[in-house]
Amino acid sequence: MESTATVLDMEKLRAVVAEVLDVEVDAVTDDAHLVDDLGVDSLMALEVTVVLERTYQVKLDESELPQVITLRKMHELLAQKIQQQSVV
Amino acid sequence: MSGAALMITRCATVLPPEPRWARDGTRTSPPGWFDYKTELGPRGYKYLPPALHYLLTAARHALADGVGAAGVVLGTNSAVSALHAAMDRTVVQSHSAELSPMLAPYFSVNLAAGKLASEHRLTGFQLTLTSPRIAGLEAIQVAARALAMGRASCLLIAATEAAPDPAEPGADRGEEGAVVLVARPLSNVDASGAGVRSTAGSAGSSAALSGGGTCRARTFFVPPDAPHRAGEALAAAWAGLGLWDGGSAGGTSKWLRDGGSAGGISKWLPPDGGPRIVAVLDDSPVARRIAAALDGRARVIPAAAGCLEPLVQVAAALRAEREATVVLSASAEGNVATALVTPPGAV
Repeated sequence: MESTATVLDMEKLRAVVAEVLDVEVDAVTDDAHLVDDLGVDSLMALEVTVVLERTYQVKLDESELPQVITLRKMHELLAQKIQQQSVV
Repeated sequence: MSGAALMITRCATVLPPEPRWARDGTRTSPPGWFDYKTELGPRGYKYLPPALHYLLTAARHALADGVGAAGVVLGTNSAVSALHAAMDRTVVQSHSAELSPMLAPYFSVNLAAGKLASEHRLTGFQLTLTSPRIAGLEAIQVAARALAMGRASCLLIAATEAAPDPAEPGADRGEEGAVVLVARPLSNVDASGAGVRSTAGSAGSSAALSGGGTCRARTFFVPPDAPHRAGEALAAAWAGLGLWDGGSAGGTSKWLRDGGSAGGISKWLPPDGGPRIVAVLDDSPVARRIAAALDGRARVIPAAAGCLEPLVQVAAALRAEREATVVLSASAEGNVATALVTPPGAV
């Protein structure tokens, strides 16, 4: 069975996030802090959430957002969500 | 309404190079004429309606060299028309949760002036006018009143428009661009910006007006179902602007009644050497009556869907060599505005 990590392509996610944040793809490193390094505020965080939900057909709970502080964390959460949906 | 005068010390425009009118009456701008990243910077302006891109760019030109203002009076008809339509489609076709949080605040047309105010720290006041077709000229009148009352020593007068949603009425005659004027009271003019100067920009230009040009405006309403009142109302407005002596003896210009009827239209007989007249008009009954009153003495420019073109004409008049200009516009709904513009060389 194919792993969620390969289903959820990291580079595609990076490009999606860079597009939403209006920054160069290179700036969205795996561990760049979304707030401190990329200037994400609460409104932009909601924008990212809406785009991710639409792109990956998942539902992100508001309570889960504070833990998403890097692209790597975002990837982990999305992978988890996709896997949960595939089980259901 | 009062026609207090103000001084314009700078004017900036952001306009398509050649808006084109087709024979069928549609109007289009050259594609790709404006790149917000080139004009405003690579980051931070993605989530703004295009009308705000134009407005912010024009304001940057107008407020170059550290010019400061306390507030802004903005006119617009279609700044967020396309955004409203896109939001409606999203809600109808999917769900409100799909709305872009970054763009959602701009459902309010007032946010255009608000964004400009926050960008340039305009801490006095911000006011948005949306009267059809005339909101740009009306902004002159409102700003003049505020300056005359001492509410500010320097204000921005602006108009901005973007292409309306294709489903909106008048979308085939949409306007794109912005005009920003820097206004001060007549008695408080800093002439340090002497020398007409243009700044290089791919889409914008600005000019410091040596000594300042002057401007005053008046607005009035003509019931669309009684357009025959347009001539009388225009005569009264122009008397308020000092263009007509109100009928007193010795005047060098006058109005002629049509057949002597009290409600009949009047025809404007300008004095020798009087100001040139530019009228931005459509083919509505009100506009046709006004055109008839002007009796062929005005340069008539076809009205587009928004309120930008009249203020574009004000900016052009301010950059004229010496000749004063009367700018006039009217909407099918009955809103009419007229402004007397005197360039620096004629003040």
